[in-house]
Amino acid sequence: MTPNRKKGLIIGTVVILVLLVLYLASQTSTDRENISKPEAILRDILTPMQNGARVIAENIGNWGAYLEGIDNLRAENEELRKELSALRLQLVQIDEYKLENERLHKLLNSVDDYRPKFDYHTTTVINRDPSKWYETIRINGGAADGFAPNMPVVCAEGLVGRIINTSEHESEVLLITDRNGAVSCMVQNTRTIGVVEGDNETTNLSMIHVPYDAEIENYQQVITSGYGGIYPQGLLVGYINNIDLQSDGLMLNIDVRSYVDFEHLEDVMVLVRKK
Amino acid sequence: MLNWRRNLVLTVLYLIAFFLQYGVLSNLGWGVFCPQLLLFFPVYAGVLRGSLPGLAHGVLCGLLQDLVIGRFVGLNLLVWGLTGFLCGYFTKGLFKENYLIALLSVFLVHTANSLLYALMIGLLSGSFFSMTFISKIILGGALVNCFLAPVIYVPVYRSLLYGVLKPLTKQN
Repeated sequence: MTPNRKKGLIIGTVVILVLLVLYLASQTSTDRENISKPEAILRDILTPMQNGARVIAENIGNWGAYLEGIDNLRAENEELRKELSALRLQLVQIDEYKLENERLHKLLNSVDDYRPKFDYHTTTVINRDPSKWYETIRINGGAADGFAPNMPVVCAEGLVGRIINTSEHESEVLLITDRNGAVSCMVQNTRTIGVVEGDNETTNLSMIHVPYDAEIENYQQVITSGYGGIYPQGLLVGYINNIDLQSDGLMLNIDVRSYVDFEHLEDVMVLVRKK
Repeated sequence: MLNWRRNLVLTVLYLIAFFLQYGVLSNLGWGVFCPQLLLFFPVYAGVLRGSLPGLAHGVLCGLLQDLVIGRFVGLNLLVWGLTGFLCGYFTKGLFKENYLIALLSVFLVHTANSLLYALMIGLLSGSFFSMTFISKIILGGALVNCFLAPVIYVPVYRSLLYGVLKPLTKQN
């Protein structure tokens, strides 16, 4: 084989390999529900180590609290106990409303199913996106625990995101602050529909596709609309922080703030649909 | 079988770097200031041994990252392989005793990697990251990786010349 032919063969092979890799990359973008076996194995090997590292990091973070003294913790504990008592009373009240709601539904012969459609599985966050390019987290629990892609993930302060793929014992959650994590939402009071999306760079959200004449105000709550089939209706997303008119004068720029502290997520709940 | 000791040490180093980075360091909440330990393999292989070892280490490190990240699989392999190759190509005639080369190479490779990766994602997904976001990632990573660069370079360089990482040929 002549040197020129050999060179041509090498270049040809490299070009084909690069094109194949680019094709593979384009096929494995965000919405990939089934991860490959090597990826799943690697993740399951890393999970216990990541759990250990998380515990160490938490303990290091807690040193400050120890140094501040036990008095602060006692006061906080007392405060939380009072809050818990108040919440217990509220819970009883809510149960009452629920029963009343059920009765009224029966009276009206409503076709809506008023029973809860989801089970809440509490789990812990074990890692943030290792590449820093995406807004994702890894949580404990995977296919073995009944988790599957597109299950909504929430925390006490509101909507966190959705599961995008799972291994046996770990799941990856796409946060709503990721540029691919857009959610169909509505303003709770006025039922104005829009899409809430993140920018990948901050934890700020914006609500788009809202017409200029929508009757909305600052500090109104934004909840999921239930459209799209992933998130059920009524999950708290955040509140309206600022409203601006877009330069074309047809749509509104709405700045939405989430109550969730995405930088310090520790415990989340996965909504598993009841069978 | 000639280089079995060298290969064994390299494998152990890879395992340590990989599990330390993705099992521990990325979990400590340091964000963009988390060191990229795997970056040093293609950079130092390129600087000290040439383009092809730089390419080989780049491809291996990129593949490992792709498997962990799980998005755009193959992109890191491509980007890291290319930058490892270029690192070896452009540092061919330089004096390797100068530790500033290590620092500069790490900075340039990290910057090139991040820019290329962001550009490729933009081209493949049709949505580009903002320059503010990219520069935040580049500067954060550069700061911590350049700090580590000479610390890691010295033992690697010595080991490649006189120690266990020195490649053996039949003449040795």
